Amino acid sequence: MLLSLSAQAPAAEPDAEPSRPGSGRRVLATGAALVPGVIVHGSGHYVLGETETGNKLLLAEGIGAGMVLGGGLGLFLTGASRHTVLPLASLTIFGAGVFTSAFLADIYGSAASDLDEPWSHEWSAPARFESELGYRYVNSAVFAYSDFVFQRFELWLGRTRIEPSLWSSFEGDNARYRLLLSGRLLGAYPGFRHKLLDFVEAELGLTHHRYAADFFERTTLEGSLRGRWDLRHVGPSLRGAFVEGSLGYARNVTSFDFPGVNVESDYDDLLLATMAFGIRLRGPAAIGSEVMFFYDHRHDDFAAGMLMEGLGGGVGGHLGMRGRWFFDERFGVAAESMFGSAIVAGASILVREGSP
Amino acid sequence: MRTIPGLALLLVSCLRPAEDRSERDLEVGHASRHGVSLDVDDGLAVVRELGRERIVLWASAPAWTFTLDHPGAAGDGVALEIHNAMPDGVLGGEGVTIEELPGIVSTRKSYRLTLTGSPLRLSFMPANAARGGSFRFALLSDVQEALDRVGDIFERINAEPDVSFLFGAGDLTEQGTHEQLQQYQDELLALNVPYYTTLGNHELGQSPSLYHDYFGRGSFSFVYRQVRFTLLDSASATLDRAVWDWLDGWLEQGRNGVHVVSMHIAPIDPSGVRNGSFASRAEASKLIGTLAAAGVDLTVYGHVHSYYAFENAGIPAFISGGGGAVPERFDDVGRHFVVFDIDSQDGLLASKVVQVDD
Repeated sequence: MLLSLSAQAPAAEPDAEPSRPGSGRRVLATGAALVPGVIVHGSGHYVLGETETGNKLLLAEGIGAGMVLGGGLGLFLTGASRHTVLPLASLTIFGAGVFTSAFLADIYGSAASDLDEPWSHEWSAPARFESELGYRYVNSAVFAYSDFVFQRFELWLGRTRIEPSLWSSFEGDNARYRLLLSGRLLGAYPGFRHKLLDFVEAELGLTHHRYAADFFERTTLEGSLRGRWDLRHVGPSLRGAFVEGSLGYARNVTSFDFPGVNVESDYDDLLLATMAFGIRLRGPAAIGSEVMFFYDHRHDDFAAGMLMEGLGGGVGGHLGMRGRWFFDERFGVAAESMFGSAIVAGASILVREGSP
Repeated sequence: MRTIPGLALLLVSCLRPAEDRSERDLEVGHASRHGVSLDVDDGLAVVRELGRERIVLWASAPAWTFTLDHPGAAGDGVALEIHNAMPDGVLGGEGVTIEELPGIVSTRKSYRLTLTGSPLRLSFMPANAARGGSFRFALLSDVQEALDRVGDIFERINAEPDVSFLFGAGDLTEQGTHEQLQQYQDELLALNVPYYTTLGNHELGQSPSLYHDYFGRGSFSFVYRQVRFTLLDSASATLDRAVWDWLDGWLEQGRNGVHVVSMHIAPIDPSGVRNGSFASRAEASKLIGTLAAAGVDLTVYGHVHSYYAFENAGIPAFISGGGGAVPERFDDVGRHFVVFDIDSQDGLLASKVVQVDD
C-alpha cells in the first residue's frame, strides 16, 4: 500500500530534497526494513544510504525497548502496586508505541517514493466543520448488539473543537453518546495553517453509554492530553508520517435499572492512553486524508481490552486501524476496524466545510 | 483469497478464549472405563481413577451425588477413595453395602463397597450439610511460585478454629503443569479441611489447561448449609458465553438464600488504572449488576496480590491474593488468608485478615 502512494513522477520544487533512490533499491530497502528490520529497526534506511535516519530509528527502538523493559520490570517488582502503576504502565505503553513506530517508520521511509512532490510542502489546517455518518458492526461474545448507526460532528471555534458523537444500535437497545471538547495548545487550527502535522491539545470528554437490554448505563468523565509529532523531524524520508499519543484519566459511574430491583451505583476509574503511527495519504487523495494504526488502552468502549490467555489477561487495550480519504475539499469516506474484546468495523461518509 | 475468511474466523474465535474450558467443565465427573461408568451430578467431583476394583474421586464440593454403573456381580467388592472430602462426610446409597475404612488424613475417605446390583445411586455429604446456621470458611488465592512455602499457610489455617473449608480464587500454581498441580494436591494433605477452588490465569500456562484433571470444573455451584457458593472461571478476564448461561440458573437457584460468588479476576479492579480486572468494563458492569440484582451477598476474588475490601454495587467484595506470589508493594499486607463468618439467614457476619508472616 505504501508503494502505491507513489504514483506520480517527481515534481521540480525549489526546496525539494535530492531525488530518492530508484525503485529497485527501495524494494530492497523495504525488504530490509522487514527483515532484519523487525530486529534492527532502521535497516531499510541503512540500505537506502540514509544512515542518519537509520541511526535515529535504531535509537528509537532502543529507547522503546528500554521503556518497555523498565516499565515491565517495575510492574513486576512492585507487584503492580496501586501507588506506582500509573507511571509504570504508561511507560510500558508508550515504550511499546515508540518501539513499534520506529519499525513502521522504517518501512514507510523505505517504501515511499513521492516525498519530493508538492504535497510535502503544503500548508494545511483542519476544516472548520466536519460531519460523519456511517455504519458500525460490533461482534461481541457477551452482548447481543451488532449493528449501529454512527454519527459525529466536529466544529472548530478558534482553537476549540467541539465534537459530539453517537453510536445507536439498530434495535435501539444500546446507545453511546459522547461529547468531546478539545483545546489546541499547539499546531494548526482553522484559520492558522501549518506545514507540519504537529499538534498538542487538551481534551475533556463526557460519555453516556446506555445498555438498555442489560439494565445498566455507564457515564464517564475524562481528561486527556493528546499530541501528534510529524516524523519529518526525524528525517526527510519520513515526511508524511506521524506518531500520535495521548494520556489521560477517566472516572465512571455505572447506574442500574433492573425492573423491580434497586441496585446501588458502582464506580470505577480508567487509565487512558493511546499510541498511533499514521501516514498522510496523498496522490489522488485530497488534503486531510490519512491512515493510522493504533493501540488504545481504553477498556470501556465497544472494542475494549484484548482477551489474552495467561499473564496479561485483561490488562491490554485494543488494536485498530482508522483511515479517511477525501475526494476533494468537501467529501470523503472513512473506515475503521478495532480488535479487542469485540471486533468493531465500519465505514462512514464525511462532509466538511471550511477549506483545510 | 482464503486467508481473509480464515483470519476473520481466527479473530472471532479469539473472542471466546475460555470456550474450550467451559466445554471441558461439562466433561468433569463423567467417565467410563473397563465397563464401569460413573456420573457425578453437576460435575462436583473429578474421576481420578476408574476401574473394576478401585475408584478414586476428587471432591470439588462438600456434598454431591453420583451414579455408579458397575458390571460386577452381586457380592463383588470395589474400593472407593474420596480425596479432598469433608472430614465428617458420610457416603450413603441404596443397593450397596458400604464399609468405611480407617483413613490416614482427615480429608481422605476410604470405603469398601459390596455390590448388590447396578446402577447404584450414591451420595457423599457432611452430617450437617443441609442444616442452616453460621459457619466459617477461609479464602486463599495466588500461591503460584510460593508453592513450596504454602504448607505454613495451611498450618496457620488449621490453627484457626471452626473453619469448615478453604475456598480458593485461583492461581494455585505458577504454570499449571502436572508437577505443580500434583504438588499442590500433595501439600493439601497437610490441611485439615477440604479446598474448593476455581482456576486462575496462571493455570493457563499449559494448553490445553490441565487444571480440570486435578481440581475439576472451573465454573460450578454448590450448596453448603443452605448457603450457595458459585465459582466462576474468569481466568481469561471474561466469562465464557456458556458460563453466563449457567450463571443465570445458579443465581435463580440462590435468589432466596445467601449466595457467595467467587472468581479469580475481579470484574473491576478497585485500582481501575491498573485494570487487574475484566478486559471489558461493559462486561464487568453487566456482571456486577446481574449479581447485585440477584441478591448475591458476598463476592471474593484473587489475582491482585494484596488485600482489598470494597463493594460491587453494594455487594461486599474482597480481593485476597496473599498465597505468596510477588506481593503488591507498599501495602504491608504480605502473605495472608481471610476468614469469613457467614450465616444462612443473615449473610456475611464478619471477616478478618490473617497475616501469616507476622
